[in-house]
Amino acid sequence: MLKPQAHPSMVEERPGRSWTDLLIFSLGLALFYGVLTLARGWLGPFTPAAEISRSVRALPGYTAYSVLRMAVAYGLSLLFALVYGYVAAYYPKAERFMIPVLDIMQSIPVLSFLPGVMLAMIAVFPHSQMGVELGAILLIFTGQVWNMAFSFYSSLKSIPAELHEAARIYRFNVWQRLTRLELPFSALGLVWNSMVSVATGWFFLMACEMFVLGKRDFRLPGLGSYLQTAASAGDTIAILWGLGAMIGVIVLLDQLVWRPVIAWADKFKFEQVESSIAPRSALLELLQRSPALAYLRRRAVQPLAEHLMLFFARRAGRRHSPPGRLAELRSWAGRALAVAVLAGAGYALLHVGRLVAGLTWAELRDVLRGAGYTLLRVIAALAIGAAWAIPPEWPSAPPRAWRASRSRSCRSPPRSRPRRCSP
Amino acid sequence: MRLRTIPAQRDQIMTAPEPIVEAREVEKSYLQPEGNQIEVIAPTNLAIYPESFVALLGPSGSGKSTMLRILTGLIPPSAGEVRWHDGPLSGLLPNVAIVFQNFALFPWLTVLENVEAPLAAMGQHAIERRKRAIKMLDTVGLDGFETAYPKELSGGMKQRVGFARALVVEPDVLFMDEPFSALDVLTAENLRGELLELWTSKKMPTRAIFMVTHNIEEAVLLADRIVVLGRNPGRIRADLAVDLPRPRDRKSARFLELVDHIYKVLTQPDVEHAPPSGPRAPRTAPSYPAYPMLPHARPGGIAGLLEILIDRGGKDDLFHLADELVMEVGDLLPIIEASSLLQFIHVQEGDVEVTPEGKAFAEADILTRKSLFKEAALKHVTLLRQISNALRAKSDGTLPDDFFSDILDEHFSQDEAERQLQTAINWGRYAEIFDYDAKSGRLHLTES
Repeated sequence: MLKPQAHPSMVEERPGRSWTDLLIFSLGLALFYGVLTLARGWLGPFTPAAEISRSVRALPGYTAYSVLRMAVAYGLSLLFALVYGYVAAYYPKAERFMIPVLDIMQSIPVLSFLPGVMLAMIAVFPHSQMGVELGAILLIFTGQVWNMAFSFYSSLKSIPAELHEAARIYRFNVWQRLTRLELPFSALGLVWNSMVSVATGWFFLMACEMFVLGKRDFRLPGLGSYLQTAASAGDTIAILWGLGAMIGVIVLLDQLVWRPVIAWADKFKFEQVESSIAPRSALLELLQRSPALAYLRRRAVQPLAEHLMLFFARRAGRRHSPPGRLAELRSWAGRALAVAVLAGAGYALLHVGRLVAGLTWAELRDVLRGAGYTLLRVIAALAIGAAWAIPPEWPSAPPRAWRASRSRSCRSPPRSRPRRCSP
Repeated sequence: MRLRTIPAQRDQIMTAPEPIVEAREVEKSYLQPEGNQIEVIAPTNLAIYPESFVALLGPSGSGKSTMLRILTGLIPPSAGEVRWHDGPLSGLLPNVAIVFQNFALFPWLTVLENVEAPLAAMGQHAIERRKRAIKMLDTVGLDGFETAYPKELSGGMKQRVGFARALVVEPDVLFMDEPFSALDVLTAENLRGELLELWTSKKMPTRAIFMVTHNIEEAVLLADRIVVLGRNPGRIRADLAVDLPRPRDRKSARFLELVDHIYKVLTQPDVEHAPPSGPRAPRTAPSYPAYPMLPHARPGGIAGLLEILIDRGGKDDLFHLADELVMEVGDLLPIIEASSLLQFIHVQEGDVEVTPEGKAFAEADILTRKSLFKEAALKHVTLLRQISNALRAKSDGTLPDDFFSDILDEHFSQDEAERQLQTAINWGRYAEIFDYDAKSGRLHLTES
């Protein structure tokens, strides 16, 4: 496709050493083998309550299981966040209810999703370990996804008008808009929110890997269940080993994943002038210098991207002919989807209603009292959090973003501000 | 003065040339949340002919950027139609490019990738688009910068990338939205010269240029035809042919004459300079009680201008003044307008003269200045008078700024309404008519 010397990004690349390639290759092989072994466990017979060993020797395997669960859940979260944020940002009709729904969903604690998600997944895969595993993954997912969706949505909403206009005037197709404008613009926000989300995932790991549902005991092999078993057995040494493993994994992830990603994402900073200090990562530089990866990029990634680009460009060019029919079709599809969603929601509501109707007054009173106590606790926690995070008094010039987000009711003239501050 | 109006000239000399893009009775209005409509552009006719360099000149708030976006098809007009060659247009112009005020480059793409992007959207293959992009980068003088990222470049270089990206699509009409106003004076002048050189030597693959600007000299220096817009609502006030030979000398008598003339048109809002109504001449604006607009100038700027004028004997030629101050005339405009609104100066035929009130103001000490400013502001500035009266009417002498925003929202776009209030607050504070508490967003009458 392209002659290698013609590509400008090749100019600055120094040839790497062959041991880098060897290292990358063996790392890749190890990862592949690990995933294969773990997947075999997943597809194995249904063993909802695995025997959790407290031996240190079992720890690496458990850690691998947990990391894989986290990784899959994170992948799902990213996908969901992209789709949800995109739809909410570009379809005003959908936006009106999608954003409140997101806000409500993120406020629901993970554990209240637990029974429903678990039972549903076991019902879908009754004879395989896959069901329980998927259940645990979905639970981690519910703890990770919402802030990422918010982040992507708000990034899309804050793309400067001139960039949108440039993309429109130069007829960017869907693919180009996504890869040249929308994803790059939201990359930094997504990266930071991903870090927060994965941290939240660790937080819920223990609850998601080992729990009792009714009379059924669920135990999945993993770091969370190891720690929980050790704690309930009072085995301090095992707890320390487990904690060590967890901290080790978190530090490794930070060094091997997040730092390179942050250093890489720095080029997506939306800035007019270069900032003096850019984050760096030795691993990223190593990867960028690797001849094997460069070859892969040249021979596989770039041609693929090129094909996609041309495919979408041709499609956009062709679509000009019958715009009326397509729009009509799309609006009908949209309406059909809306009807289906409404019907589903109505059906679910009916069932919930029937369920609630079965409650006695005493039970209802208990529920309400419980909710009241929870509310008080949440408010107390919020007050402590606010006292910690909010400075006692706003500085005379609040941050710009904050000012912009305020409603019209409290706008202030920026130009006159300095004069107020001068003695 | 050899100022001819375009429609007349075309009917006589050319045998009805076909315009590339034409706006017919185009208008734009926005619906406010409260339900009332704001007219941004009154019904307007505007055509762009081949081989012409058109400058659309107007003060802020005259809807010139909106006009550009309507002509390119970026936003649809509220009424009227845009025609491309001889057919009506729906959506974007088929072959169009814009050079943006703030460059609108993608910071995560290299210079080369930025220029290649429109070609990729057309479905061109990698080798072809690389060849064309590199050629265009050479044309605008950026060879050697292909792999740089925009943030590594100076403002002038960034705008060169903007030009390269626009020209690489070989547009029929090159649209430019204040392309030089984000650059410093020297860089802008340099880039203007290079653009003109590309245009006059036909090295540019484009048949016409349409430039939006607020800079009078820039328009006279570059364009063959200048369309002057008035505001509230935006409408064509004058349509002038510039028949000065190129290269144009900024100091030549005819150049100055033309700048002065356009100045006169801009500074005398009540006089219509539009061409006599022919078949295609713009309709006169509907009788519309326009709300007077505050020019965005600072009291200190006004005082400064008056001091300079008095230093020069109380009277000077505007263009001469701007030249001495090394300022673009367009940048002086808000200060001139503000001083003229307060009747501190008197503008006639491009000459500025300090009035007795202005002289008193400029020569007074700080406290007297404030009281003179207050007197003039309450007498001549509707908005400040309204604010003052409203505050006086309240027993506690205080009102939320929203109250005034709502009044302004009925007459201006939301951004402009905000700027209007900001300027009014600035003036009111200076004159000690009222004070503003940014925290609570309330205006307070100043106790005297």
